[in-house]
Amino acid sequence: MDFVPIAGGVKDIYKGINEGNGWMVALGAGSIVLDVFTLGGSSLVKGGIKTGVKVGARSVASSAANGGGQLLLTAGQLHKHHVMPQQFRKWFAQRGISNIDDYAVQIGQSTHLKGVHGKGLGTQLPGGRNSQWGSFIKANPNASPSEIFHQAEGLLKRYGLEHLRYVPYK
Amino acid sequence: MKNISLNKEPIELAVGIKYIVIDALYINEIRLECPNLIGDNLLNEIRSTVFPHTDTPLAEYTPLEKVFTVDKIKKVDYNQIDFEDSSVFSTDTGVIIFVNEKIFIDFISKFDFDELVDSSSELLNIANWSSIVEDFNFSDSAIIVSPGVNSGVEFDGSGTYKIE
Repeated sequence: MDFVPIAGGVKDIYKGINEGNGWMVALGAGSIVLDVFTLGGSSLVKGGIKTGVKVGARSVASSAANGGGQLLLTAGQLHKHHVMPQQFRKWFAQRGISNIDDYAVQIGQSTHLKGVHGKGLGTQLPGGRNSQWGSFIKANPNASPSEIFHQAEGLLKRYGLEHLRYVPYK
Repeated sequence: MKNISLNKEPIELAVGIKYIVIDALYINEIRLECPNLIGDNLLNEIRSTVFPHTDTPLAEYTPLEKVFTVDKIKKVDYNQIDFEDSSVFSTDTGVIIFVNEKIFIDFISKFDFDELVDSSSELLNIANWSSIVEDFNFSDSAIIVSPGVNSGVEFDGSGTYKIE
C-alpha cells in the first residue's frame, strides 16, 4: 500500500475545521493514523540504514496521539524542517553524514517557529532545537554517525515529530 | 507596512546599500558572541568564530531595485555551491532578516528570536518587531517568513538558498 502523506492529513483537518466539515476532519485524522502505521520504515531508521548505520527500532504508536494532536493544533502553512540543522552542516559531514538534506520533514509554521525553534509551545514542544544540537556537539565532538542518528531520533521523539515522513528537500 | 513578508508580500530595500541576509535565529548566536568580536572584518569573523560548523551562515546582498520579491530566493544544491559566492545562505527556521550592514551591530543588540516569535495569536510578535526597527530607517531592515510548501516559491522552510 502506498502512503498517504501526513501533510495531506493535516491539511484535510485544517480545511475541515475551517469549513466546519466534520467528515474532512475525520478523514484528515485518519490519514495521519494511516501514515503512522504505514510509514514507520520511511523515517530515520531507514535513513540511518541508508547511511550505513543501524538505529534501533522505535515505537510509533504513542506518536499517533502525541504528535498528531500537536499538528492538529498548529496546522496551517507547512514548512520544510531539517532534522539535522543547517547551522552544523559541516560538523555532520565531518562525522560522516553528508546527506542532511535527505532528512527533512514538513511541519506547521507555528510549530516550526515557536515550538521547535522559539521558547516552546506547552510541555511537548520545548523549543530551542538548535541549542540542543549545539550542546550535543559540544559534549560529543567526535560522535559517531550512529550516535548522531540516535540523538536525532531522541529529539524527534522529544518534539513529538518522530512519526513524520521524510520529504524531498529539493 | 512594517517591511514584513509573511505570505510572499514583497519587501522594500534601498538600492545600492549592502544588506546582511541571515536566519533570524542565528542573530541570537551573534549577539552572545558580540563582546568577543573585534570588528575589523566583522562578517568574516562572524563566519569563522560564531558559525564554525557551516560555510553559509549569512549572505551579502546589494539590491539593484527597491522592491524585493520572495521568488528571488532560490534553493541550491549544497554540493554545487561556490563558497566564494556571498549570495548563498542557510536557514533553519525559514525566517530571514535583511539588515543594512551599517546598522547591523545596533540591530542585533535589540533583537531576540524568542521574543520575535512569542505571540499566541500571531506568527510573529509584530509589536516586538516594531520596537526593534523603530530607531532605524524603514528600508534598513526587513523580515521574510517562508510562505511554506506549495506556495509557488522555492523558499519553503529550512535549507540552503541563493538570492538571485
